Amino acid sequence: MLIFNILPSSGSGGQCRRQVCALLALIASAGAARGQTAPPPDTLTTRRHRLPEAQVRGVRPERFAVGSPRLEVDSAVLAQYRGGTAADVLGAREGLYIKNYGPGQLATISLRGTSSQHTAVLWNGLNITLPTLGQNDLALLPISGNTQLAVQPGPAAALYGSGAVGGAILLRTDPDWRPGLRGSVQADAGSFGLHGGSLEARSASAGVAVRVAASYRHADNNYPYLLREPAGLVRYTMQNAALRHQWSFSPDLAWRVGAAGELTATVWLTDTDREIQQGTGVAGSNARELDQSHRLVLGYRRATTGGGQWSVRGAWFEDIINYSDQGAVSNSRVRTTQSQAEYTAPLGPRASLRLGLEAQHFAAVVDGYGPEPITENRAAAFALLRYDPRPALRLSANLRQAALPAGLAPLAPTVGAEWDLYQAAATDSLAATRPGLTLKASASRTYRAPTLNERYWQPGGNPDLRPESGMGYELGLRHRARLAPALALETELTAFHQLVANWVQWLPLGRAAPIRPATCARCAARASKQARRCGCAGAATGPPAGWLTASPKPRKPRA
Amino acid sequence: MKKSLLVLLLGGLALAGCDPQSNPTPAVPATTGVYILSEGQFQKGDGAVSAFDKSTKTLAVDAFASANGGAKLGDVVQDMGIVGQRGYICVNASNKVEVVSLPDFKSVATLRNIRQPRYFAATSATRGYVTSWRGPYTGYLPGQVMVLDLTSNTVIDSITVGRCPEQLLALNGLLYVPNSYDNTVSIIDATTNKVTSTVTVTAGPKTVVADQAGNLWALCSQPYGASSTPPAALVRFAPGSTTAQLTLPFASSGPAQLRISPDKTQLYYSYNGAEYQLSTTATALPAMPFIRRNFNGFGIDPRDNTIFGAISTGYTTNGRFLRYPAAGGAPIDSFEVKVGPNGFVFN
Repeated sequence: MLIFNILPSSGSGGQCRRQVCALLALIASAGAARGQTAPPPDTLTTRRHRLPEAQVRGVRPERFAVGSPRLEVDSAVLAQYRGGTAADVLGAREGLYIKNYGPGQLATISLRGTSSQHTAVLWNGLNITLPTLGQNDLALLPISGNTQLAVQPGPAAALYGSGAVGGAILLRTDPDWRPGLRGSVQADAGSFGLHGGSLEARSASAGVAVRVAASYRHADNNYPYLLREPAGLVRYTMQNAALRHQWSFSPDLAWRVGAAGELTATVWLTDTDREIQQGTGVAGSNARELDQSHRLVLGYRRATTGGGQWSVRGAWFEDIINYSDQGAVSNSRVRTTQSQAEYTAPLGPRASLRLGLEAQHFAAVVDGYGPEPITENRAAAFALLRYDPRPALRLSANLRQAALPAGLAPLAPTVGAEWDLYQAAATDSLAATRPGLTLKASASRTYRAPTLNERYWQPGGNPDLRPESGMGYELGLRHRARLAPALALETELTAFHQLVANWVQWLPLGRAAPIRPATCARCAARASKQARRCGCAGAATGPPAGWLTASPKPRKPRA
Repeated sequence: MKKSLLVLLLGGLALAGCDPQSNPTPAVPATTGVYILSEGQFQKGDGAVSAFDKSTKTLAVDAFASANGGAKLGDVVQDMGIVGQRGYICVNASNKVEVVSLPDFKSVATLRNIRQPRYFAATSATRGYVTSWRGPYTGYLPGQVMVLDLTSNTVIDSITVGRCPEQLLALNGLLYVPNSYDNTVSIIDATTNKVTSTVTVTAGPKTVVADQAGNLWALCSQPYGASSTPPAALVRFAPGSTTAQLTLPFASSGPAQLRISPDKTQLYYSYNGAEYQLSTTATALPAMPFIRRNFNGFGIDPRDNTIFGAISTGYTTNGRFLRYPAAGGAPIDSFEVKVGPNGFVFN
């Protein structure tokens, strides 16, 4: 499929001097041919700049994820996928195993041989995994709603909570405090009726930063395919596979309150209407699904005089899945209320400690659960510690205890260490990719709370299910080399061993009997993986612009 | 240049030598052939019929593809019936009945647009019947029995019955059609193609068999997709009667795959992960299983009473079938077949 992107973007500095950069990029979806972006004119020395004012910087949870690999999709890559979804980016740019049922269709991730329910998806630090299914369709997460995307493979429930068994996907919208007005417009067109576009505008003053982003996509997906039949190859056209529409709208606001406080309001609305594609050779149905998610987060962060930081957040999510096929209808709506409070304190110059609490309330009206609404509450407490005894040695120790309706979840501790065996001195702006050799290790216990479907679906739901629990150990070596002034090579080799116990499976209890979820005595997801990542650093002024990733497909878990 | 061309040609020849012609032939003899149905992975269109020769123990795992240039049979192979030198395969999710010649398994005709075909039965060499579901999952409408002209391989008539008609039985010019989303068995007169009477049984009849005494047995279990779990039962009724003669209730839902021995004196069904055997003169259900295996399909070879049991290991992995002596006990041997084996057809 060919996709043509038209990308005009504009920005204005503090002096209201306008600079317009129009760029026409022809992008093949395979990423084989990619138009080169012309370097922007060097305005660093020729124009006056107003630097953003000092701000209350949040301490990200990944600071406590020492010893774990992290795949960061940088903003330059995200900009190319403004019209796409997380499924497009992660599959094409990070080489992750995405199970995809077609363009715009269900796309789920499998990290380290675990199932799609074993990857937690967080948006601005809050879990947005569908409480009914316990997984996310990555094709329902348009990129335009976010400014950052990262994946952390490996068990990490101490940091990210339930579901981070195989890993976690981290989406984030950070306020842009650079003064002035900037924005971008993108139009996409492609074969098989693909069209769409995105709009983004950002503005910041000394006290307020605003960002509004919207995107739209439509695709007919009426592509031809050949099927071998007894008489020979027969050409068919794919039916009932259209992405009728996908909207994303995300206004964000950040407001400085006093010298040490920051108030944020973040909204992300998505609306997707798609036909459900049939397999080839399968008689067509007219299945159609409407997915809507409405997400709102209000946050307040305040720095204390002692160098510590308070942060409280409240969130309200509504997830709607309305499915219909030839008159049969299955509707579901879940409303989630979440709150988080945490305090991060420095412990001397080399350590920091975060203590936090969170609570979740789910209210579900799902056809499959019967006529009565279902509610469920969960809560968790966590402590995260980071300690750098020497600059070349970084340690972290985290702990989380969650309370679930059926009892306490397994206690989830994580310990991690990173040791720079060799590290070149930082000499230029590419300090993040300076040459070095780092040894990494971590050990973690993790869990996954049973989903609402697993507990309440009729027939078969089992409210007494125990949470799944997992153990993971990993050892890694990261090497960075500077091949040329503008070229860096990063290689990372990770060996891991991971076990999941009480894996929930839906099993038929005798033929024609209801399929019930049950935990099998001991299911193992065991794999030894050697992942090599090679990075080609871009210009000396920016972060790596392109990634080439090679990683073997994880083995299927043994049931 | 010439040398490289030679290398290329030789290489091509070597690769052509790898053509998997070592596959056993799908043409199994009528006297020793057994067909094993595999539903395949739902939505993958990879359902298959395996052809097994008992005398040589050879197995052609996808007989249709082997005989038809690699063509796929379709999605969810549900049933197959044999009439003379023809096989009629109900490919459920592909909405078609594939007609193959036997024993070579070459495609003869494809009857398309039979919605959700389930099971096949024939009343003569020229007349076949296929049950067909109507309506979406849980919103089912009264189903139909499609009347097939087996000479021209066309649908010539349809008969409306109850919801989700399942494994029908052709006997003495009548068709007994269990309506698995209702609690009835429709009886069709094959000469007029009309429903002449309806027998009330327990909810969810799926299979009807006839015993030595001429009585009929229907195995009733939870209707597919139903949210409540009504009691399951094995129900006996006499021909010509519209009510049950004997109802043997199960403690819980889930019995399936009612079969009868070739001499029509022993009934078999699967229940709670095991296979049970019951005499047709019994007045209570057996407490002890016949074979402690959870069979997804069960069949008894009428030629020598060998027992065939199908094991499904999930919806994405290949299954197996096992052979047992007529008296049960330890299996004789086992063979791997495609995903979701659900039944056996004997010539």
